[in-house]
Amino acid sequence: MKELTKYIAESLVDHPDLVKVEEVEGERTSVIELSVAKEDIGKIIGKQGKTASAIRTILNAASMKLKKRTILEIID
Amino acid sequence: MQSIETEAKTVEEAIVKACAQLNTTKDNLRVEILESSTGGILSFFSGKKVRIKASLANSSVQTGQDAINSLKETLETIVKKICPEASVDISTEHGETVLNIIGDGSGIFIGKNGQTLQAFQYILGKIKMNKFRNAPHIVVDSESYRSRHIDSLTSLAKRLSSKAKKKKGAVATEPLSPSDRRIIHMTLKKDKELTTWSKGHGNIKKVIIAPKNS
Repeated sequence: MKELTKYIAESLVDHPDLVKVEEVEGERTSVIELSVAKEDIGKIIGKQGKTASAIRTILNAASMKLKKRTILEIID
Repeated sequence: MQSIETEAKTVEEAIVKACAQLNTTKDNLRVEILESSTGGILSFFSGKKVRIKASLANSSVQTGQDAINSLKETLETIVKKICPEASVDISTEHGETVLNIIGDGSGIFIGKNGQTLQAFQYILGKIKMNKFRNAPHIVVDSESYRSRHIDSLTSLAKRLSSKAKKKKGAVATEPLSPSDRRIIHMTLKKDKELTTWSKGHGNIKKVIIAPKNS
């Protein structure tokens, strides 16, 4: 899950080396904290949060397979 | 023009790094040396680094086909992280390049109302804009969801059009996304007795189908 987020984020930004992902795993819910370079935050969130919600949708599909829930937080 | 800066002990190493990051080969790079060690064997030991700025020399060098292949690789890497046995293949339908995700058959890549598929389509479009600008428009599909979806919309359009004619009044669809509305409009465009328009605010609108003289 962590790698998935990292890979998607790295493909979207201008500074892939500054993408950092942390995963806080709970029993049923895990929280993924994503941080990117300051200039890239807009790219990750997208117009009206469209990119962010698309990433969340993909993460939801991935977590459904693991029968878990995932929350994506974008940290600035 | 996308350009990056890399650092390594030698210029060659820096170029290799840049190639890896830009997903290309050495021949396609335009390299500019920003900071070089003064040469000599000492600089090798002093840990001084070479910094280069690299950008894609000529974007047309990377053909559309290469870009499609790289996009396919990208999508495949993503889906494999979700479901290791999944894969992606490329096909051309009606002049459009379709990337088909082959999953485990459970529709995991489609999602409710095709939501997940749409998310993949959107993210891939963004990646295309970021890295492979000269790739043609691509469509993401899984388990032929798109064609099934188009079929169901065309039959919905036909059903509603006969209803409108029978009723001699306007009928409305459920709120639909722009691409779905387009399919309804296009299906009924040839029908001389009917006229269609969209009603509502924002992205999701209803399509109204009505006889022309009303």
